[in-house]
Amino acid sequence: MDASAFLHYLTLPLLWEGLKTAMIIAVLAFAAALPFSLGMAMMRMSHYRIVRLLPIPFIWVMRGTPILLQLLFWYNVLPLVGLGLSAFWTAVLGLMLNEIAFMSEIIRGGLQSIKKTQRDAASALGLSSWQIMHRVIMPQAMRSIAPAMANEGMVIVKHTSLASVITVQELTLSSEQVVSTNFQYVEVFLAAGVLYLGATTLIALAQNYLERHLDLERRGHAIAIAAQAGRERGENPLTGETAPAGAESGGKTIDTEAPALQKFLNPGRALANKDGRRADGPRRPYVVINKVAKSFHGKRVLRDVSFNIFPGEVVFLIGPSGSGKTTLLRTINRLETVDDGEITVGGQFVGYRASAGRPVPLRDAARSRARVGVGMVFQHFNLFDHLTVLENVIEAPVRVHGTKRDQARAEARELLAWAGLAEYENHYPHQLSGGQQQRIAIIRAVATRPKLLLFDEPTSALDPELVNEVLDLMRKLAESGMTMVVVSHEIVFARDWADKVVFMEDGEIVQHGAPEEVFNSPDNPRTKNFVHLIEQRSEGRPSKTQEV
Amino acid sequence: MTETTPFKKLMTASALLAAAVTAAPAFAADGDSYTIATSADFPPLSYRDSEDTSKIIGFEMDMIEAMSEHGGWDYELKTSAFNGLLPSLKSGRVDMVVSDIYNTAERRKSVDFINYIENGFAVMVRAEDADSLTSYDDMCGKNIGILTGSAPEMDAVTAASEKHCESQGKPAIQPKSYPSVAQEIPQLANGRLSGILETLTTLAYAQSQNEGKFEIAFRDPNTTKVGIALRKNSEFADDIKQDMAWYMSSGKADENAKKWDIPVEALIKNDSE
Repeated sequence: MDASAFLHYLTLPLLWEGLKTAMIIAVLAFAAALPFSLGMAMMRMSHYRIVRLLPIPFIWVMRGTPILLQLLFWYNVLPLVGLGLSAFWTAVLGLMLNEIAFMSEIIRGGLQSIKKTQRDAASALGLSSWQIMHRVIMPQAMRSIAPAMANEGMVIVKHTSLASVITVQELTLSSEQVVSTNFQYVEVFLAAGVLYLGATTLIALAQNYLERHLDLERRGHAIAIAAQAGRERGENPLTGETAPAGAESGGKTIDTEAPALQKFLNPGRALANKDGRRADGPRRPYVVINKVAKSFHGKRVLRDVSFNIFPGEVVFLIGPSGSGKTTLLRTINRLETVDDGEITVGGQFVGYRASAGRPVPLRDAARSRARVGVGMVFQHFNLFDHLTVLENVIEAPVRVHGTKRDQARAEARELLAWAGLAEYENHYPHQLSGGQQQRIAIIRAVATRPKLLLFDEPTSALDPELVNEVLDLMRKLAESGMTMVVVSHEIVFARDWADKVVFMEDGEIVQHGAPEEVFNSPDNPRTKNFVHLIEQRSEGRPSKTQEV
Repeated sequence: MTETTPFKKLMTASALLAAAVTAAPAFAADGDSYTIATSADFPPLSYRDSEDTSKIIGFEMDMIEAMSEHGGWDYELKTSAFNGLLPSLKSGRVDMVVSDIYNTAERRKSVDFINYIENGFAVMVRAEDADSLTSYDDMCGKNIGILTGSAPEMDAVTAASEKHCESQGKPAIQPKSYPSVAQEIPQLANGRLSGILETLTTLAYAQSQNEGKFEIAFRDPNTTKVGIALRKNSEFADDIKQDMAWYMSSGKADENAKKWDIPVEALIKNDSE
C-alpha cells in the first residue's frame, strides 16, 4: 500500500463531494422519517383495529424488499404518475420511506416497553393523552429507542451508496470511478472507508451524548454524592441551613401540625374535627356509587354495587383477592369505565358526559379528573422514573392546573418538608426506598389539592419495616379532613382510622358499616373468616401500627 | 428540556422537505438539450481524469462533445452506477447512455443503438501465466471474470466453454461476475481469477496502468458493437445519427481514436444497424 496515495485520496475533493452528498441525503431522510415513524408507531398502537392494521402492508413491503429495488422503483415509476423528483430527492424519499418502516417498529417497541402503570399514574394526575405521551412515556422510551435509532442512522448513511444506481454521484460511486482509472483499489477504498467511518462515528458520538443525557444512574449518582456531602456538613441541602436534629433520618419526624396541610388543601375552610364530622347532622354524600356493574371478558367483577361516601370520611375497601375492590376503586376516577350504573363525585361525573339515557364515557377523562379533584396512590407507587422527586410532585400542578413553576416548586418543597422528604427533592425514584417512594407518590397526589384521594393497596408492595412511615402519612391526611377511599388489608389501621369499612366478595358488597361492627361482630361467615385470616397474618409479623 | 422544541424542529424539517420536493424541477428533455448518462468507469472510453477528478474524459466524451458542437445541441452529463444506466434511460430519466454499452439483440428489444465502435473481447491473464494460458483450451475449469449483467460477456464465455471444454469432456470455464473491471483486477492479481474477459480497449488500458503485472493472452474471435443507447423511437434519433455520420467521416473520429489508443479499424464508419 502506498501511504502518500492513500492521503491523496483521503483529501480528494471528488470523494469529499461524494461524502457530502451521502450525508445530506442521510440526514434529510432520517429527519423526515422521524415524525412519520412516530405517527406510524402511534397508529400501530391505536385503539381502533382498522388504524392499527393500516400500516402493516406498508411495513411488510418496505422491510421485506431490497432497498436497491425500492430506489429503482421510485426513480422510474414516480415520473409515470407525474412526480418527476430529481435523483437526489428520489434517494431522500426512497431511504425515508424504507426507514419509516423500520423506525416505526423501533419506536413502537420502545413505547410498549413502558409499563401501563406509568400511564395510569399520569392519567390519574389529570395529564392529557398528549401530555402522557410527551412527558411520561416518550422520555422513558427514549432510553431503549436511542441506541436502535443510532443503528438506523448508520444504516441510512451506508444505504446512500445504493443511490448510485439512480444517478446520484455519492461516495461509493466516486471511489469506484477513481479506481477504474488508476487501479489503486486498496488506497482508494481505504480512503472511502475512512470517510464513511468518520461519518458514522459522528452518529455514534451523538448516540453516546444522548445516552449520557438519558442515563439516570449517572445523573442520580452525582446528585447523591452532592447530597451526601451536604449532609456531612450538617446542612440542609435545600436551603443550606443547619437541619434540626433528627430531621435527616427521613420519615420519623413528621410535622404533626396537620393544620398546615389543612390550610394547603382547603384555604379558607376551618379544620374539621374528626369526631365532629358526624355531628354535623345530615349532609350530602360526596361520592355516590349507584348500582355499578362491570364485566371483564364476560366475567362479572362488579355486580350492582351501591354506597355513599361523605365528605371527610375514610372508607376502607377490604375483601379477598379478586373480589372487585381494586376495580371499584378504579371506576371512581374512571381508570375503568362502568358497564352499568353511575358514579358521581361532588355531584359531577368523572370522565362521563351526562346524556339523556345514561352517562356516556368521554374519550379523555383527564380534564374531568383534574376539575373534580380526584387523586390516586398506587400499590407500586408508579412514580415517573425519569423525573426527580420535585419534578414528579410539580408535574400535575404545572401541566394540568396551570400553577406557576416557581410557586409549584415552593409548595412542593413545603409538602416534602412536611413529609420529612425535603432532602430527597433532587433524587430519582429508583434511588429511594419503597416507603420513601410511596410517601412521595402520596405527596404528588396531594400537590394537586384533591378533594378525594384513592389508595390502591398502598402498603402491599412494601417491606414490613417501611409500612409505618406510609401509614403515618395517610393518618395525617385523614386528620386533615381528606376524603379517602383505601383498598388495604391493614386492619389495625382501619380499625383506628376508618369511618366506614366495606367488605366485598365476588363483586358484591357483603357487609359495610363502622369498623368495630365489621371487625368485632361480622354478621356474615365469609367476613368473619376473612377478618380472622387477616388478623392472624397481622399478628404473625411485628406489629406495625401499635406505635402510631 | 423545553417540551416542544424537538418536535417543532422535526415539523419544520419535514415542511422544508415537502416544499423542496414539490419545488424540485420536473425532469424532461426539451429538444435542444439532452441528458446523457455514463458510469465513468470505462477507461479509455469514459472515466474520471485522475489529475482533476471533477472532469470526465475519454474517447466517448470527446465524441459527444464534437457531435454536440456540430449538431448545435447542449447536454447535461449524469453519472450512475452501471446497472442503473439502462433503467434510467427506459424510464425517461435520461435521453442517451454513452458508456461502452454493448449493442445486443436482447437490448435492442427495448432500446435503439447508434454504433461507433466494434470492439473485440480479449482475455487478460497474470504475466507469469501468459505462457501457459494461450487460448480458451487452457481456461477449462478455471475462473474467468466478467461484468455483472453483461450478457455478451456471459455469452462469449458460455460459447467458448461449450466449444473448447465441455464438448471435449473437460470441465467448464467458470464465469465470475464483478460490478466493474477495477474490481476484477485485484482478483486476478491474487489468483481468484485466472483471467478477465473484457473488451480489448479496456484491457489494454488496464494493462498499461498495471505495468508488467498482466498480459493480454488471446482474443475472442467474436466482436461486439458499442453504441449510444436511446429510448425506442426517440424523435431526436435521426439528428444524433446525422451528427454521428458527420463525426465518423470528418476525420475527428480518427484523430480521437489515436489520442485514446483505440485502433482506427475498430471505428464503425458506416453504421447500418
